[in-house]
Amino acid sequence: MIVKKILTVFELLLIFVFVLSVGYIGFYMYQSYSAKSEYAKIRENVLDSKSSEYAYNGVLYEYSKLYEENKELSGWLKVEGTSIDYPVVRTGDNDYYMHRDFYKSYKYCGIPFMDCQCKIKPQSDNIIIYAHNMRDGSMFGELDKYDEKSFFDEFGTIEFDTLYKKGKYRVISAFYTTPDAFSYYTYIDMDRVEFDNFIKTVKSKSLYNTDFDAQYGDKLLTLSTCSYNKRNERFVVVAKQVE
Amino acid sequence: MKKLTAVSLSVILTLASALTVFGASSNVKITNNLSKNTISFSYAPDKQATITRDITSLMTNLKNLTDKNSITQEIRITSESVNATPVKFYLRLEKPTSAKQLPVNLSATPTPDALSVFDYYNLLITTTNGEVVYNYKDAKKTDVSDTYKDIELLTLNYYDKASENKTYDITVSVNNDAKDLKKDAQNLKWEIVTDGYTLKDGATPSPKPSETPNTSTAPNTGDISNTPNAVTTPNVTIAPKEATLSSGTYIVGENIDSGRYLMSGNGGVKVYTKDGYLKSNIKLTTEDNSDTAVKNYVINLLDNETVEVDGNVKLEPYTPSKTTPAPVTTAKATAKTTLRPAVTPKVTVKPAQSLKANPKTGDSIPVFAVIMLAFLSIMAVAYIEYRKRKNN
Repeated sequence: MIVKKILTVFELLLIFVFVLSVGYIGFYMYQSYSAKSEYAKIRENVLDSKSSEYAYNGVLYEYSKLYEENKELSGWLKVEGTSIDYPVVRTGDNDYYMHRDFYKSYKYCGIPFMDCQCKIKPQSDNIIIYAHNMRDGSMFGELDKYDEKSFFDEFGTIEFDTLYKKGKYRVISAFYTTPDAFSYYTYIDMDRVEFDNFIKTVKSKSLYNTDFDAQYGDKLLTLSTCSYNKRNERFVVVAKQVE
Repeated sequence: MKKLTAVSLSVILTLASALTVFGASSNVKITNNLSKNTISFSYAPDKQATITRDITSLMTNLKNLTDKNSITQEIRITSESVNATPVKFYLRLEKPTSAKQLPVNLSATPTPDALSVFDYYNLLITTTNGEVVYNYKDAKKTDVSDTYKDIELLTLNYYDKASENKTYDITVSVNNDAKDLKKDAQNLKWEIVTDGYTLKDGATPSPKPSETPNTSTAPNTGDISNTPNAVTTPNVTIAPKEATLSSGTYIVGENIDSGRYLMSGNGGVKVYTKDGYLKSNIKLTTEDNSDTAVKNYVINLLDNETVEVDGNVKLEPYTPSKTTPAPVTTAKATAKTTLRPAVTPKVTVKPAQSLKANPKTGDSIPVFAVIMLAFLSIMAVAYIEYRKRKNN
């Protein structure tokens, strides 16, 4: 009798765990689906730029409507060959948009955001953008495709428009590191010596030779996301502006 | 006739001796890697006058400077000094008389302040080793009434070297706050100034702490030299101890004594100022005739500087009266210390960042694990039910 009761309790516990797990996975899938829909709608709000280059509020015409919806919009990032095609925001810290969407509502996957110390006008020497490495491939979930040289050979150019200027960037380095081993996220506005040191370090860490280099005065773009290879590891892609 | 010949010969010999003794002069030669021009001059070593030479003709690349780029000019100074008397060198920018001073609000300062024509150029001067000699970011602002601005370069011929040369990379960019002064800035004269090292009572130039030559980008600590507007050198007062450093990061004043050292060993050494600027970037080797590294390097380490070592490096206190430091031969000699990094190696010398500076952007939901848990739990329930029915 007692054994039967224990078994029944145990069974109920297992059912409870099962329901929780299913609910957890359901929540994750809902968040993923919701984010995909939302960002698809946001992409529709990017205006056709043929009519005018700049809007009345001084920003590039195609982003003016989005800018009215969120003044923390700072640009748009697109990486061909991946699902990365998102607005980029910037606020006063590197935490606010970790789990918030463009409309500042809770969204587990967050949104790509610029390092709070970066500026777009005048543009910082190195603009750093962070986003989650989502297992469903959204956000920077496909950024680590750059760990293969074949992907770089085919899709080595990244488009990043700030609110004021369109831009194309050529990848010069892709590497894995930890924040302790290399504080790449502190190289934002640099003098010549710091710039040369930064380029020398990222080139030496690169997983492959890109045959592209950067000189002092070039504008850089750094994309950063977490890696699952090692604890606290990041995957970083550094590119220099070519247009 | 014989008397006349003897007297003439004596006069000639006397003149020749005088020329030999008093005619030996010190020489300075200044060249540019791009220009064929050379500027050279000589001076009598017993005359400690300040000598100024215009090198504007060597600064040929300045015409390519705009407010959107920077240019780097390589200037090499060779100093041959009789009796190896140390010679101080300054880079001087001197105003033309027509320079105007426009009061311009400095965005970085809380109160309005006038910019002088010297503020038009942002200068960064480094040696070919990467050692920062001058950085405009650390410099004291010039006064509008100043007629020239001196930037102290390294003192040459200091370590009993009769002939020494140094190559400087002078990187010039434009200060956009001082754009109005462009026309006058372009008329500035670029000069090299030499100044004999001040010796007191005929003493030989051993490095007393107050006379340590400037080898760092230490901020201007006040005009204690007799040359106006010169950048001065902080004092080194602690007698350093010999040390062996393995890979890691060390703080001068905490892990290592401040002082002048002769570095040797194998590996890379980077020294950062307390403000985080790279002061020196040295590659050391024990091999002879290396093209990319040196066997030893003399460096002045100041309190709160950071030393990053990648390899094994030996620091020996350095005194210029010896070409190599005296070996430790007695049991009571200065303690030899092998240091391990006293703190967890930090790899950045930028100002402290908040804990959220580099966000953890992983997807922390263990989707696969949760799916497995759901599967296992329902399988366990199914198994228990099966066993129940079987027993019934």
